[in-house]
Amino acid sequence: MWLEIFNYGKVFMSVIFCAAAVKIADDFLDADIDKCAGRSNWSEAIGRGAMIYSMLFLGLAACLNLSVSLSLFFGSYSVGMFQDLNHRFPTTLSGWQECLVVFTFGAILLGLKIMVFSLFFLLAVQLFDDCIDAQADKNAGLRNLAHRLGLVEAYLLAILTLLISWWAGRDVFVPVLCATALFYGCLRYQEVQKNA
Amino acid sequence: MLETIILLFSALLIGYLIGKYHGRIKGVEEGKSEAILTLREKSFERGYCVLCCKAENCRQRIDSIGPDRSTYNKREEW
Repeated sequence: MWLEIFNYGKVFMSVIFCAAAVKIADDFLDADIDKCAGRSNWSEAIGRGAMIYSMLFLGLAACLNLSVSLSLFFGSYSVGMFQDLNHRFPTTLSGWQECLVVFTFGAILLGLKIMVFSLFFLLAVQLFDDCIDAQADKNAGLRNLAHRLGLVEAYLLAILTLLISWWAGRDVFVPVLCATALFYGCLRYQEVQKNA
Repeated sequence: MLETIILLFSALLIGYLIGKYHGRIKGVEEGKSEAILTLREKSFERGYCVLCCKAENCRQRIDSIGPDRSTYNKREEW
């Protein structure tokens, strides 16, 4: 019983650290866009050492639960590529090729099931986020997945991908969902406080 | 149980996408046929062509935005 609770807590904290790492790295890349849109940006607040903190948080997450944290990181990298599927990156690979390579490496090193879980879970999070931000992104001139697919389709696809991720990772789904919901809720609260 | 829900949601999403696709095609066709009637109605009401404000070639211009005439029957009804 206690071991179960301990493992649950470890996965929960691992996801929180991993989410912080991804958030800082994402903010570091989107610093200019966030500045124009007037959004809060963690990397701006941290300064030059933002990427070091991102790596530190990812390291902490990996210490707590290697497979969940790294698969979520690989998954977020792959889902991030969905915005630039045909863009060529410094590796000379296009977005979808990098996405495929990362997924394959993840599946070999961490396991196919956990990678499927992470990819679908993060796709669901991305879709929900895009649906919520649809109007704000439209005003900022950005075209997100909700605009490309349509709002209802994006919501339906988000629910479907969330269900698939649940099916693929039944044992870790609940703590990952709870940690993600808490982290996302805090981010939204911070956004609301800033705009108030 | 979860597999059944996933299958149901997949069916719902696919059904929605098919319905939307066909609805859009039908809506465009109906909109085109409705547009001719609306333009003619407005033109008759105002006494001039609402597209160009002239009488020349208006019939042809209004008809050119109509639906595919191959879908009309012998009595020129859509």
